[in-house]
Amino acid sequence: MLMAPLIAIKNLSKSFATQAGNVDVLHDINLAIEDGESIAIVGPSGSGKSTLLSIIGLLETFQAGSFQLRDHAVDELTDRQKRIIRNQHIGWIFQNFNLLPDLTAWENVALPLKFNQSINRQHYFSLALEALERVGLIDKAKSFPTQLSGGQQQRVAIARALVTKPGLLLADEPTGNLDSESSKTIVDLLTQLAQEGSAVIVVTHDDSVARRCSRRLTLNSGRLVDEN
Amino acid sequence: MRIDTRYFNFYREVQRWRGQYVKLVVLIFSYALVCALLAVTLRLGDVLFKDLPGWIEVDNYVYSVVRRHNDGAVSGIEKNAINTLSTASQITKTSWIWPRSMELTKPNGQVGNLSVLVFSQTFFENLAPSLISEVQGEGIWLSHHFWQKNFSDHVSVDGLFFVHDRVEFPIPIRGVLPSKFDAVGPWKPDIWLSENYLAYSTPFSSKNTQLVDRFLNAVPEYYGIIQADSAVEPLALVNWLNDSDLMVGGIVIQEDGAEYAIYKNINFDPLAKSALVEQWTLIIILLVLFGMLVVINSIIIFSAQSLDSQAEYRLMRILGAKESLIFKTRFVFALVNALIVGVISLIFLEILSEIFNATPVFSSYMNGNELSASFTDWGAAWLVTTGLLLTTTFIPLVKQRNDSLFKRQAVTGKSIVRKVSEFIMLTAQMAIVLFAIELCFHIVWDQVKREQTHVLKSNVNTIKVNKFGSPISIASLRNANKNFGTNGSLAFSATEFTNTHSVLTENSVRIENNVAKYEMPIQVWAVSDNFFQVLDVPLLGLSDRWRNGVVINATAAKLLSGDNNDLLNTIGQEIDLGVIYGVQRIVGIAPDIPHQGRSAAPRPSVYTLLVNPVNQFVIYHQNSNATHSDVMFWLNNHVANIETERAALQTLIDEQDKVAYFLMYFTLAVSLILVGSVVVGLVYQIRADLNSSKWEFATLVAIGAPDSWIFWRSSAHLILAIIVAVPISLILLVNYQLILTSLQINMPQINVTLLLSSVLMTGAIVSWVMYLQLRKLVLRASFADLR
Repeated sequence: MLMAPLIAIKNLSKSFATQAGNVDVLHDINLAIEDGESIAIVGPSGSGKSTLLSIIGLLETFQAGSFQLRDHAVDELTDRQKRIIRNQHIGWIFQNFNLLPDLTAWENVALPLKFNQSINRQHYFSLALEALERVGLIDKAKSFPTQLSGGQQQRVAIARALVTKPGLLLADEPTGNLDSESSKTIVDLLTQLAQEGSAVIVVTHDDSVARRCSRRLTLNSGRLVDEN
Repeated sequence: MRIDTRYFNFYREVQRWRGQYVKLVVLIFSYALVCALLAVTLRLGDVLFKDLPGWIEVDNYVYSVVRRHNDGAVSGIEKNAINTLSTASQITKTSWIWPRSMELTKPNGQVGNLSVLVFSQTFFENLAPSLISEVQGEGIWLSHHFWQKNFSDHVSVDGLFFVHDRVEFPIPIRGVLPSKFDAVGPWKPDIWLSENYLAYSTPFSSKNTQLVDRFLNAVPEYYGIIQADSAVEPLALVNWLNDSDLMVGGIVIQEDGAEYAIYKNINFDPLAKSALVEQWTLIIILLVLFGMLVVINSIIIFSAQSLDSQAEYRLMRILGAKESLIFKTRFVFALVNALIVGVISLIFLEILSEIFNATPVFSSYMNGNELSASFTDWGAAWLVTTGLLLTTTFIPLVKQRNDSLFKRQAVTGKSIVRKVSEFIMLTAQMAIVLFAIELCFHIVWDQVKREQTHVLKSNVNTIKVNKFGSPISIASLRNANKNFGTNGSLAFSATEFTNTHSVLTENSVRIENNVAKYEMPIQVWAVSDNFFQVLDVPLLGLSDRWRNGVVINATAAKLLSGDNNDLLNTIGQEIDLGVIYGVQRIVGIAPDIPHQGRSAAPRPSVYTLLVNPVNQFVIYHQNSNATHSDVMFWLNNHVANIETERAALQTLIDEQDKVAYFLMYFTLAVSLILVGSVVVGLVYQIRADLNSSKWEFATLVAIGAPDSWIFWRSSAHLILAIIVAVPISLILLVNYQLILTSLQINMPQINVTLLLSSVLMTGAIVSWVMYLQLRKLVLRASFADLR
């Protein structure tokens, strides 16, 4: 039996209510993403890239169309179901790293495991260390975020995103605050994760990052204008 | 085009508060209240420790000389002692007053029992020299209030006179004193009498001058006022007086255990003064708590605002704006706020002064004189408040000034110092809100309990009777009952229901065979045998008519039963009530009757049977059994030459409760203001706190953290603050209770259930505030918060 695509979006539209009236941010988006694909979403500021990413990441809702995440119709999911999917099947990477400052690197990485009741507490440490090892930061496990460089912080953030072995990784401008060398390390890691079977979606302005992805989606004024 | 930039920065500062004007108004009103409270506290401090009363015209050192009893009450000293004091090296002048009541026939022929202040010849010369020419010679001077009430329709009081049955000639009225002499010390005399008439008030014939002089020198009834050019050490002077020979030949006055005491300024009622000092302390505690809260709140509010305008200030500095401009604008804005605070504080000051003037303790101490606002005290209070306002405005700004001009987005944590100081502020707020809620709960609980356990019915009325001339026998009073349908519907007591002067401090009480041999001061009421029936109070141990022995109240029974705790065990025991009442057998136990009000801690009391004829007595009757007019009809027909005063028993009790109720409601109001202020402060603090770490909670949402976990993470420090605040609030509560106890105001023992309820209530308020903010800021966090 054929497995359903990881993401199947059909005629999806999204608008925000403002004082001036409704503002349409996404129009008629149609998109299908399979496991192991790496996709770059590009486009000018305000084109709807981040909104699309947040809908895919189950953080925002949409007004029209359909969004099928593997076997789940997203608009039928409860908040609790969305939370569990976010926790177990989606990994997030942000431009500002978003590490909790009062937790050490390994504690930050172990955080998603804490919210997953099916994982034994005794495994937190080993799973987190394993993730840190993958990003080359095993020796920084007990460091606090403020003691790490920008590139190291982003690698800890990636370790946190992959610690639950998610099928979908979402990255919002992951190299926006990094130098070129750190950026290259991060993109290498993301590419490697895609090769291992996870779908990786990256919102970026950086052409060198987009070029490393298997597909590029261009958004303009909320419409998908180009795909290659 | 010319643009006027003079007020631009100020308007920008005003605009900064757009949408937050309520916050600004709360802040201004809070500072105004702090200013007014501080001004009242300073003024009250002046009244208590510095000011001389308005009727004293001199400005040298003035001291009051009295005898102090074990219970803190004071009474007069011997004239001999005052004469001895006049020889002390530091003392330049001495004078005295003798307060008493005298039965005098007024110029209209009506007999009246008047409140009289007998004064020494030197009194006006020493203390009010401007009146020397008017108060010369012998006779009576009317006090202004008495003149207004009785003689205002007379063109002149010249030629009018009073008659006293022991003075063979009429006593002329010599004039009317200014209204500032309406009240002196705790007394409000009707008339002032020159000292020569004292010769007619001794047990001896006025013609026997030698005996009269000796008696007047030895009798301890004079309240001395001494003056000195420099400060006097009261204790040294008292010791010197004790070492002096004060014996008066041929006269022996029985010792009553009281000792000489010298107080600074005029202080003939130290109990009222100490109650006022306690009240003053209470205001200081509330002021400090409220002040702390306002300062914490304003630091939070100004810090939150500084965070909002951080980017703007940074940009202004990058663009080359002078730092002094930023500071100057804030300074001007804070100064304008301080001026508004000043104006509003004057209104609060007026209200607080009115409240104080209406307080029984204060009016008793000040004897009708009002607490007027002092510009100096208000000015000092305003300067302190302005200082606080400016400091709290500038602390966040100075902190902001030290920020780097260029900031890259990175993970930044709070420093330990910042975390600790934030936690201390939070704990202080929690402790104050907990204390305020605990206090409110205890006050409300106390009120409910008091109403539930109140033993007296509300329909009992009293008539206070003052009979001139020969006393009335008890048999006659008993006969009165036969005139009414229901036998025994009138009860009597020899002293007023609320009378506290019958406390027999010098009498010890012992129970035979009692191991503890408990000694205690006890109040004695002589009452008719049906007193408890008319008041509808159940008695333990007395099933038949009360024919002999004494009834004690529950408090006395508890003390006498010692460790035994079996109250009934005291029935049948003997009690030694001293020389007047002798040894009596306890025949019954009554519940605690609230003679000193329901709010006062019940004192041990003994009820003896009224057997001796009386001049002054109180009639008690229930409205259902006898009407006031029936009783008055009987009195007017059977008891000649009387003055009566009618009052509902409930009113008399309420009168006793006034001070306590005032304090309770004042505390309740301040507590509620404290709770309100903390809640407002918490809303802003939590909002600012959550806003600054919104990305953190949005991240947790993104990685699938459950709502409960986010709630826990954001509120753990609040829960910890509540836990730390519990013992602090308990310390505050215990101290507050000690103050109330010293004021003889009954507050229930600290109740664990009430404490737990207070903690739960505080927790509920904090959780509710937290939840509202969390729901608004975090659980609905958008993707934008993650960037």
